[in-house]
Amino acid sequence: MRRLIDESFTLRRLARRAGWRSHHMRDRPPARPVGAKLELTHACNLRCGFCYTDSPRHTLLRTPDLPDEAWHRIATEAADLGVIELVLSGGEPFLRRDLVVSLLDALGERDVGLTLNTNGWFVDDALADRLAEVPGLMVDISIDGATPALHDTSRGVPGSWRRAVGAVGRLLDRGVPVQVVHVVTPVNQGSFEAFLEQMWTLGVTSVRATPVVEVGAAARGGSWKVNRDRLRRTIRAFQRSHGEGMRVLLQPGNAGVLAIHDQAAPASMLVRPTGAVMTDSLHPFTFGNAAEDGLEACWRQVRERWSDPQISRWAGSLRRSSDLASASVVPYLHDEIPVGTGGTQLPTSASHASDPVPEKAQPKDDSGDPAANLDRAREHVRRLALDRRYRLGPARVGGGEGDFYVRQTESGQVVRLNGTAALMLEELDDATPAEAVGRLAERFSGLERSRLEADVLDTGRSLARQGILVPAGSR
Amino acid sequence: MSADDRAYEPPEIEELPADDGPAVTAAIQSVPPLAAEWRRDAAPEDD
Repeated sequence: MRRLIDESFTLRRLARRAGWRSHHMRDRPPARPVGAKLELTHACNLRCGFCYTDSPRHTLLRTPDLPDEAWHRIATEAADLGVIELVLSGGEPFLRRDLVVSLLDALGERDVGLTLNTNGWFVDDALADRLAEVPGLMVDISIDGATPALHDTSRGVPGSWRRAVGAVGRLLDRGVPVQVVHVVTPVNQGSFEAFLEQMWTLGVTSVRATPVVEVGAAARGGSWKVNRDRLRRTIRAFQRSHGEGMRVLLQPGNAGVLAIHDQAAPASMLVRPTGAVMTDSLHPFTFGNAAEDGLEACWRQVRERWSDPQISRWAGSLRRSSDLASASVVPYLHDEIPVGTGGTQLPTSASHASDPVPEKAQPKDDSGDPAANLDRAREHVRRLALDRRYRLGPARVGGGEGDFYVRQTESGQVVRLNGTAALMLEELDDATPAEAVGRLAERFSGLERSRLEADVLDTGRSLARQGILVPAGSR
Repeated sequence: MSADDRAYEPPEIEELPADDGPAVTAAIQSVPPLAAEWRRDAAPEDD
């Protein structure tokens, strides 16, 4: 029932009338913003047909962004306002690499929870080293399929899967938590299970599956509907067989914030590359400009104008999520509308639905045989996982003779290991799984190597999740 | 560390519950009988 209410606008509205309240119901925005998302650039090197920020169009147009100094002022003001979590995003933020690194350095000192959204293309060893220095950073990397053919078709640029997977590997090698964001489409939903298996092998911290939200480029057309029930079943089956070692989240539907607009006031703000302040990516309204007015004044506008009839009217016209694409004003596809311009009618807003967007390029890494593609991709990911070097983390080992107890010093968590797991722990200290497998294969000479490899990878992953093993590159 | 290398046993990792504070201390502190996980050889009725 809760799931239905989450996804049905009608049920959500009825439930509210019946007195049901969810945890994110809020009559008005809090006195100060709790979170902020900074879209540092319009530009992106990829060409996703569903891009909610419609970045490929802006890349073609070379839409200007705020300069570095302005972003530093905005980020500092966000921290001063007491924001507890901040997301740096784009476009592709690493097209402004120096800006991103300097912002992370500045914000890392303010104890703000930091998340960085990237497609991973530009994350080389040097950048991964810098990111590993930022305390508490979570990096969100987009991967849309278990094979290069699936991902590169989705992203419109050959080579993007290898770049993304390589970035995930580099960051995990250095102990940086990585959440993989998986945009689910009618094309890739059938291989979701294979995708989760692959992310497990790679060692990612969590996966967030997000069906396409029909704003921005996705609102130009195309079919984006996916079977959420099937995704849920796949997630449940995966967690039954793998435990909770890798969190898998399915992005909830949009009914929560859109259907009951008057009871779902925002707690966060979003700053567009122009400085325009919005509340999130679903509402096409602006509340001043952060670079010109300052964030505090913009937040005051959010608080004063959130109940404006213009917004209520727009939200009230939506009956289901897919109505977003045909609404009178579509976020990111139309020019944003400043709120409080008077009257209940929305002012005219220019649509960019027919504007040119860059052509997608065909993937090169495609044998034409999906099964062969998957085998090759699996092998690539398996190699990355086998070559990750570990060392013993802050832990103390007790017991012996097939009955070991390990206490992780920082969390206090105790785990019990049987003899094989303890032996693998010992072999993985200052070694890669590939090296450990080599030594263990001599000891257990009768055992199939593929079985040993799978067990060592799983054991390494579990012990790393407990903080008993840490990637050797982590600080 | 050593393992019985005559036969391969699949690796097992068990997270001990920490509801009662540190797992080891909880077992030591508990009035006998000890928690079963610390006496793996004991039959249930011995507990």
